Amino acid sequence: MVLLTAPLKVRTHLTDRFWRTQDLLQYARHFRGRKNRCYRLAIRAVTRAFVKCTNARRLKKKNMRTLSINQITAASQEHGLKYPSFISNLVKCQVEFNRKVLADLAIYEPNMFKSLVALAKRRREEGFAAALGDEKEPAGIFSQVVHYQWR
Amino acid sequence: MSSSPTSQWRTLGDIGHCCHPCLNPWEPHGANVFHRPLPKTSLTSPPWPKIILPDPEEETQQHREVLRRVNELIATGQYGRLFAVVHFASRQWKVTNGDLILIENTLDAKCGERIRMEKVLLVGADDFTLIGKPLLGLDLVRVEATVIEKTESWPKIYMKFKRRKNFRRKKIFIRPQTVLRINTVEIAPSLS
Repeated sequence: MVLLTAPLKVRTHLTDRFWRTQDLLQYARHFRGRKNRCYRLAIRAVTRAFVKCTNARRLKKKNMRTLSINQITAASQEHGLKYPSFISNLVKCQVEFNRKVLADLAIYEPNMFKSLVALAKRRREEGFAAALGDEKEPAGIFSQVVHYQWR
Repeated sequence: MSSSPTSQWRTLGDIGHCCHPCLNPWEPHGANVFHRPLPKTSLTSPPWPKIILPDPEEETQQHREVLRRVNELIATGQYGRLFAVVHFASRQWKVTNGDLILIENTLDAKCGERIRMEKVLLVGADDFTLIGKPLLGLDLVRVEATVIEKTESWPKIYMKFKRRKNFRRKKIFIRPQTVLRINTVEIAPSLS
């Protein structure tokens, strides 16, 4: 609607109601029942849909992380190690993969994942040996922390 | 196997031991005074399994052998497609040649420019993998990508609604996006 001056604006009535309702009904066209046609019912359904969409964006990240963790747990249990010890020992070996990548490796690179589990197991045993024995023995090969300037 | 009882007493006289055999061999000294094999009970050994780490010299030999073979494979070029795990735009991606990556922000590079990704965590082939602690060296791996497209995302809706409280907020936001195509993942033969 083009209303440029005050006198013009006083003598008008609403003319673009059709487009205002269509703006909302376009989002409801794939719904079931009368809420895809009738504006009053569609407002409620579309609002709920938008709110669910917003909340799902937060939950998707949470669910994907849970899924990755479950996949990693399953894969490491196949090789005889539990998820908490696998992750903690991998981090102690300075191998910083996130759960998404670890889950991808577990699915698509099984041999690689097996060697990662073996590394974590070995680091775990070295940790136990260091804790149970005296502090006079040197740290194991895989327990040595690398300090270097990466560049 | 054990010597006469009188010699036992002489060796341990300075410590001042009692003559009962200690039934708890987890103590550092004084276990199994009479050097007789104890009957196996629930307390003769600790409840965790005994850890035997492999021999260090044997291990270093094995490691050297593995390194030699991997260096051979890399030098002769007997690897097929390489994949890499790259840390880019605060995310980790598992990447090969010809992959497309969608990044939810802008990059300084223009469309068509070639980019080198430097934070490489892992490089793998069919037979071997190189894992970085945590990153691999710049002279070892090279991952190159080209910027293909710089667009915006579809209009996403952010809506809050509380029923019966007259509370309704709606916002439409559009995020900038960049599409990268990974051109190559290469290894250089300089392992030590």
